[in-house]
Amino acid sequence: MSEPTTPLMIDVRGPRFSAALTFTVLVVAYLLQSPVLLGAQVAVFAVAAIAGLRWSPYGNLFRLVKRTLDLGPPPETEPEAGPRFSQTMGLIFSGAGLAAVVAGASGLGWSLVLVVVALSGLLAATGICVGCEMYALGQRLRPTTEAR
Amino acid sequence: MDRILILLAVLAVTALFSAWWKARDGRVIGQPVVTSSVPGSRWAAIPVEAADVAAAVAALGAPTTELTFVEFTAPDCVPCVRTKALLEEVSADRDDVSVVSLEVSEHLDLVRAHRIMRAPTTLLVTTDGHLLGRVGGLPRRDELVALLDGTREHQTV
Repeated sequence: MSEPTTPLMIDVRGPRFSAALTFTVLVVAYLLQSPVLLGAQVAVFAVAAIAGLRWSPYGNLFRLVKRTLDLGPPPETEPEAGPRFSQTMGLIFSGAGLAAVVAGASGLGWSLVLVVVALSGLLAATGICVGCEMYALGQRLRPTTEAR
Repeated sequence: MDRILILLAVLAVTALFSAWWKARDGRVIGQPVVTSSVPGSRWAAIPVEAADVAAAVAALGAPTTELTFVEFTAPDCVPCVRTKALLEEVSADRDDVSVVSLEVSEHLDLVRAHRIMRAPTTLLVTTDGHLLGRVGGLPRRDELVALLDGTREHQTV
């Protein structure tokens, strides 16, 4: 990946705002059993994870809300890497869920969606970002390349 | 109707997880420091559990102090930076305590051996490899101060 050397710093309130929207969209999609709404959320995850949080639809909506309501400067900023990794996790789970629903395995598909519902709800309500915490664990499970 | 019940169940599990997480986050787990009458090391009553961590700290080549906060960090980890600042702040008036950061990906052997599941995770170790305390997440300041004060009392006995 050819990312700029200075990481993009984002407002810490952005990911929680996005998580609240994700949570709402996926809850409605689940209750209505709507593959179209689920597909829309998968697309939002895909843009944020692949193109970067600068292009995130919810992130841009947050910036618009921030300007309109004059919410003031960020209380704190963070590098985009952690939240972006979480968007990738969201993309994998909801994308697999969408694929399963479309393929007819709707029980499995909506179960995967409910995982994303739980994690986005947790982030929106408490600020606990499970995807961000997974980094150390992921490193630990990775096979060592040397001295094995 | 089923869907609503399932959704409520998922939310209930999430709320329980959140409560469990908050109860543990930043908690300082200290070794019970039993005053030892054994001559030699003043930490002799505590088993040597972090000799590998102490060796890694010594290998950094920095001047070592009797006690070291070893923080395991990850790149782009905001709580890691805050943890480092807090550790340096609480140990500022102690010339026998230093703070060292180890990158998780560069010390996978230690990470596996000590079952480190999160960044930041902080260990308080002595030069001779005794493990005095452990914290996952941003440490709670009062508990961190209590842990350090415990080592001072121990020292004077």
